[in-house]
Amino acid sequence: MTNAPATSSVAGPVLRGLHNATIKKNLAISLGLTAIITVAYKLMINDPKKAAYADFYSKYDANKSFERMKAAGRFQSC
Amino acid sequence: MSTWANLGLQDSASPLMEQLIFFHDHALLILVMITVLVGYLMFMLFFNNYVNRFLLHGQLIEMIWTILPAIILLFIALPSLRLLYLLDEINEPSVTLKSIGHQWYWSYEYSDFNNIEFDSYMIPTNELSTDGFRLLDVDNRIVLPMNSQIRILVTAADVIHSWTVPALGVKVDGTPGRLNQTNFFINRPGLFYGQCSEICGANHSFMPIVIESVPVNYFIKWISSNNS
Repeated sequence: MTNAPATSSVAGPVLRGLHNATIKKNLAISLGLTAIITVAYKLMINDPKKAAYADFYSKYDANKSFERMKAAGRFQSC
Repeated sequence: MSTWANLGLQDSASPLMEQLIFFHDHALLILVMITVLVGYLMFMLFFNNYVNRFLLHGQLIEMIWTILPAIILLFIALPSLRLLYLLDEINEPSVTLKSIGHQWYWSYEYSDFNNIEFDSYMIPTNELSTDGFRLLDVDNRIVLPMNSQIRILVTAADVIHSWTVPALGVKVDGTPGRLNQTNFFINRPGLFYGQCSEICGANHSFMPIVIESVPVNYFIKWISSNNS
């Protein structure tokens, strides 16, 4: 008796609708990736920059800054 | 001011420039989104072995890739128009500065006060002090009050020049025979630099602009000390 070779079941080729199925899969991945990167960009770049400006100006003392620059001799006019 | 390896816009010294920076970030966000989407689709082409030889038309996908870009453009256009109209708002300037471009220096006039006029030449590199900025520092700086609305009228005496200070979001062409007007507001003290932005001959790169922003009382003192 010959030993029967071990077989494993292989998925058959997709015979119909491969294009649509591929498009759906790629669309899902691309939209997901786009959403993640867009949200990450917004949360890591856009929002921190706005917050940095708001924070800077909330604590900013223009006159103190001016006095510091004047003491360092940066101005020609005074 | 610009420092080495500066990739982005300069830090703003004006509320309008702040809005321009935020709008730029918003537009760039949309561009990144489109680039990632299209980039992924193009990348996946490397791994495709098949062709759909029965493909004739795709009405649905054509509709989608027409309407979706139109919607995306709306997200860019509406903030853009808001900012465009904001930049043109009428306000009451407290100081008017006249700037005349020459080959190759700027001259300034403060006709509100005693007709103060002066020329502003770049400091040559061989005369620059060790703490000076090469190709940016000038002999006579423009002194302006901070936290005040300023009107600038720009023209030129010979060829077209362009007066610009990136930190304030200002760029105005100076054309001979024409007066161009714009307004700006400086919300912090300091020195703000710019360079001529319209090709005007051999020394186009060597006619910079420097604004000294000081509190109003110091500005008035400077005006009084410069009575002509």
